[in-house]
Amino acid sequence: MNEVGKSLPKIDGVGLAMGRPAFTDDLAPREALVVRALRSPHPFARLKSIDTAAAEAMPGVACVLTWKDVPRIAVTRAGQGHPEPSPRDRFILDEYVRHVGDEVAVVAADTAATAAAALDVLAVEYEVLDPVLDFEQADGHASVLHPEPEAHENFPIGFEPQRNIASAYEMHVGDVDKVVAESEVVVRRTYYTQAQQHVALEPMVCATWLDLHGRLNVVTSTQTPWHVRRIMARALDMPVSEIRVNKPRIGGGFGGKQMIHGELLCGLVTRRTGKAAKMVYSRREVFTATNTRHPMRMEITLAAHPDGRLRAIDMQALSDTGAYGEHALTVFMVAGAKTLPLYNKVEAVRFGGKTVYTNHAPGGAYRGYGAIQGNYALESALAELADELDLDPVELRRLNMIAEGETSPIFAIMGEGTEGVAQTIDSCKLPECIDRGMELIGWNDKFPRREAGPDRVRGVGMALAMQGSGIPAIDMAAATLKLNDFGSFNLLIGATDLGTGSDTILAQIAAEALGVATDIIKVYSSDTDRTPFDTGAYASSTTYVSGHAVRKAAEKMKAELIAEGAAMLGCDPQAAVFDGREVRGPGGAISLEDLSTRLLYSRNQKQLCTTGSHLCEKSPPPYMAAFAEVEVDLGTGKVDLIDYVAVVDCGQAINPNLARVQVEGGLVQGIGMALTEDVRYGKRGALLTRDMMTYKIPARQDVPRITVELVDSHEPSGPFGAKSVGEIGIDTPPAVIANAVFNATGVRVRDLPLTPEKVLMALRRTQES
Amino acid sequence: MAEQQYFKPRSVDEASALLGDHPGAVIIGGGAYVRLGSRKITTAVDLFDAGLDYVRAGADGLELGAMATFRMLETDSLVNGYADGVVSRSVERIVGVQMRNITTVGGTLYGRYGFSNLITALLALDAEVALHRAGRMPLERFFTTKPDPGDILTGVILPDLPWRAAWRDLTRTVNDYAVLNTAVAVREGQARVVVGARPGRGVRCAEAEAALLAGGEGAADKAGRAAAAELEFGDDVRASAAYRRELCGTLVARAAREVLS
Amino acid sequence: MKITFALNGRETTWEIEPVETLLEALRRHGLTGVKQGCDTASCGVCTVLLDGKPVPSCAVPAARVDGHAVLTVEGVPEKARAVGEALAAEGADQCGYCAPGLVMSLVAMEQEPGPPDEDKIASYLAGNLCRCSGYASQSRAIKKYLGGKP
Repeated sequence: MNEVGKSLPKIDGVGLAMGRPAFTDDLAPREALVVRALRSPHPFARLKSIDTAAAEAMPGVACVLTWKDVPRIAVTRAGQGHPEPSPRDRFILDEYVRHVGDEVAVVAADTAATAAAALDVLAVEYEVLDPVLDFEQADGHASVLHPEPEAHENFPIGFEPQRNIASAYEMHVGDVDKVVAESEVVVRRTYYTQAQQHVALEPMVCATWLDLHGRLNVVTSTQTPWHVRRIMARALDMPVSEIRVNKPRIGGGFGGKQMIHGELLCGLVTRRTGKAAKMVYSRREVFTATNTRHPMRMEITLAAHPDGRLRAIDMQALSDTGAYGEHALTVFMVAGAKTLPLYNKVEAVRFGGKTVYTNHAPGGAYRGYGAIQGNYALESALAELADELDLDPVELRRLNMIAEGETSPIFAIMGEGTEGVAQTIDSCKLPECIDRGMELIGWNDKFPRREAGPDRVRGVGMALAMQGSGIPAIDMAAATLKLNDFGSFNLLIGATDLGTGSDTILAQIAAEALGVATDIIKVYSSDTDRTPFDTGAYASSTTYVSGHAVRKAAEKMKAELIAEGAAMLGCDPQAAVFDGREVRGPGGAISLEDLSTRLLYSRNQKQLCTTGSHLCEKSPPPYMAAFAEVEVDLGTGKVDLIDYVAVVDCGQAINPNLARVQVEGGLVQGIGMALTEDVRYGKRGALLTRDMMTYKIPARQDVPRITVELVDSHEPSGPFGAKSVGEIGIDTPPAVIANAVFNATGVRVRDLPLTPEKVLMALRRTQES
Repeated sequence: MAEQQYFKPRSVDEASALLGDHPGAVIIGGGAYVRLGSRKITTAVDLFDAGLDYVRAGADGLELGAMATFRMLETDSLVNGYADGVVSRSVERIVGVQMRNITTVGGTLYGRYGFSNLITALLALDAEVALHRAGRMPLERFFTTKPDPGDILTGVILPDLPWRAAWRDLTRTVNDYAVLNTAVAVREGQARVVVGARPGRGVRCAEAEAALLAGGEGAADKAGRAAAAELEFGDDVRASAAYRRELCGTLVARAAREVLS
Repeated sequence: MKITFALNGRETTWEIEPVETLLEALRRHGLTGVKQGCDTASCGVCTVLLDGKPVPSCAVPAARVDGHAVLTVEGVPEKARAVGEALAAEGADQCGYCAPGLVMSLVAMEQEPGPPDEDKIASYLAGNLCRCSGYASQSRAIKKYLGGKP
């Protein structure tokens, strides 16, 4: 291969480093009205009255809108396929506010200062209601978050709003209770995972205006332009055809921009005023008024033979979706669907539970998407089982893990919101990943622990992980290649580059399929008017699904180039070849430059334009074996990460550098979740960690050493052998670090994050007992 | 909205006159914690150009100007050479170079921030503050006296005393604010144990100091236990009171061991 | 109010609001290399040099820079290109939102005394957060950038 497998530089890197206008706020119309939301100080309240007169009278205020001014149409803000598997339980603005930070009213003004002043004079009378703040008390709580009759599910997802249940799910294979009862070794544990903030450094930003046709143009920092367009159309009660959504460069997404944020309010303002509008979230708004990872309680039962062969896995989960049900069911399902197939040799497996509403900021998509919650619980429980059996935890995995040529019944049973698709695993290099990882970390020398000076001890831990590559039978993508005069191509793709480098790797795939150099492929992406459709950048889909669409478009283009070249040469197309520079036939050759220029200007004139589209038919998992060494300060409980080793099977890496950085970046977000990132609420439901001084993501010195390697692998169903790599990196750190801390200290912390406080207090308890 | 004014006096005298002319004016010292738009400031007096951004050896000791930045404290050789560099150690990891370039001595002391590392370090070294009108006073008295809004803190004086000192804190990420911090300093016949970010402001701990002065086997551990027992701790987003108490024992003992060794 | 200052080496007079931050004023005047990130001086994406020192422009009053010198990424296009190429060569650029702030910190770091060893790089750049890359690739790129300079 010539272009695939090369670490080409990301095509937009230099321009971004130079600070050229590229992001939404750089591109928003200069004259745009500043849109600001008044946000609820109460976790749950009814708006008895809102006096907007003083604000409306202020010079420079263009409009003040409340729930009385918006269409009463229930939507979900989850940027998912149609119809969405999340409950439609939101309005652009509502009479009720359901979390601190929820939108009460919206103001648009000519300057930020005027908008802020207008917010200050809005007089709101709240009827404060009893909030639901403990997700374990939500089902059956006297307060019901969503009594409104308009809220509904699009298809059965277990939606029971009267019980504060956003979704529910159950599946089983075999008789788990019977197998557990018969088993000689049973481990039952409960784990808790916390909410996590995405902390993309660019906040949520969007801008809207009407073009000369009166169509609503939207430029927005989103992962899902088509879903934004469709949901805006529904919420604003206007045709989809009257909206254009464009995603420019975006400053990180990680799932946080797979929800709709300011777009509905901005669109509403532009529709009302006819003027351009812009909404830039403050960091506090990002924290209080967007979405977090769903916190979960995971109850796990493992049943095994004394030799370590697993017999049954039971995973019962409770998920907190906060005030709204964005991604409630699908994140929940992934907690099982992208963990349980790892151990496919069990006699019985069961997974189920529910996702409940509380008066916290809503849950939503976040890289890992349930898999990290499930992985933490399952891989921690396996370590606890290994300890109970006095087995090396690596051996326990080797004994039970899935292998090439095998399958799991879970693939067919569980999809995302619907049934899944049966698949056989054609690429799984877990044995190689484990061997290499053990070597890199020095497992045999370091397991389980060693002293590291006075009051300090080191330990190692490990875990395996799997993810998916797109949502089978749902995710679809399209790509168009257009031939230009003088021999360059435009690659038009719906795919949404979040900074991951997908524009670059999709150009590499096109170049590989065409046989040309990547730099003559000029990429334009993510514009609902100007590029073909793509469901969006989520579920680890872009390389595998969008990449396939690009490959198909390029293969068609190559065939057309040969046909047209042969026609120019007057030979049989069967006898002609295209080598990336020229079409050659038996009697001569024509260069790409000449061919393309003649086609547009002088001979057989026509535009060559090919489109490929691809439906994700299976979802081959990427795999990882991860190992870490930690050092625990026994006097403070502080856990320092010494080394993190991750060896990954992501199929053929299209661009090894970019694939590796996906893993490295995912790991550090997972490390943050394991150690320092803690969304904390006060007793009355206000978010306490609402800035980057209190919510701490890892800084450079917190992650001194990370080693990522990709093993040789080839996925037959993937474009040029590729699987996905976007999410797998984040899944392992919570379990790996918790396991390493246990091996170092004997202390098992079962709720994340592993703060110094939790570790020290647990150490003190063991010392006392 | 009232018309807002922003002044940048070029001397302390000029600043003082401005404060006299504009009752209610707010002094802008650092800037880091001032979200200008979020406060109803009508008149701001920014000391950026008032000539207070110095670190120098004065007649009575080391002088830190009110506008000396954390970055200056971190890198200046005089500060690094004073009391085993404990002042430098206290500020050198906070957030990042950018933040430390705008965070100032005066802004920090006026903020009386509970989480402040600098306050803890200065209290352990018997620092004095210099005010334009009220003159010099011990730092602790500055904290317990109601400030005169027309006065200006011009700097801090660290008396020429042969302290042996050590710094300890615990942060969640490397560059976070402390969950708890401590500075321990000793010299002939004197001991100082100060603990801050409890989450309240740094305070001295008499019993821990007495344990250090008594000396003998296990003095450092005794000082740690005394501080943990004596001081008040509270809950906040970074940690609980119970954890802080445990941590206090460990960190004070470690700092004390270092200065006694 | 009016301020006059040296912006990227050129004397500049702007009409600003007394309550504006330097970040707001710079962006309002079209300097898109300076980004809004955290609003609390914690993330580094708004880094500019004030009199040669890196500062978070979100926490500096615009009025303060009257009579002083401000350098943004727009004023160091060659450095920015070189850093950008180094980042891209490692795949470390990712979303690129933090890159201009990182460029400015590197420009300042190069003026610091002493050789930039690994610890110094890590501590000097501690205030430049990155959520995409996990830092390792950035470190590889920065080492190559510093090593490759004349």
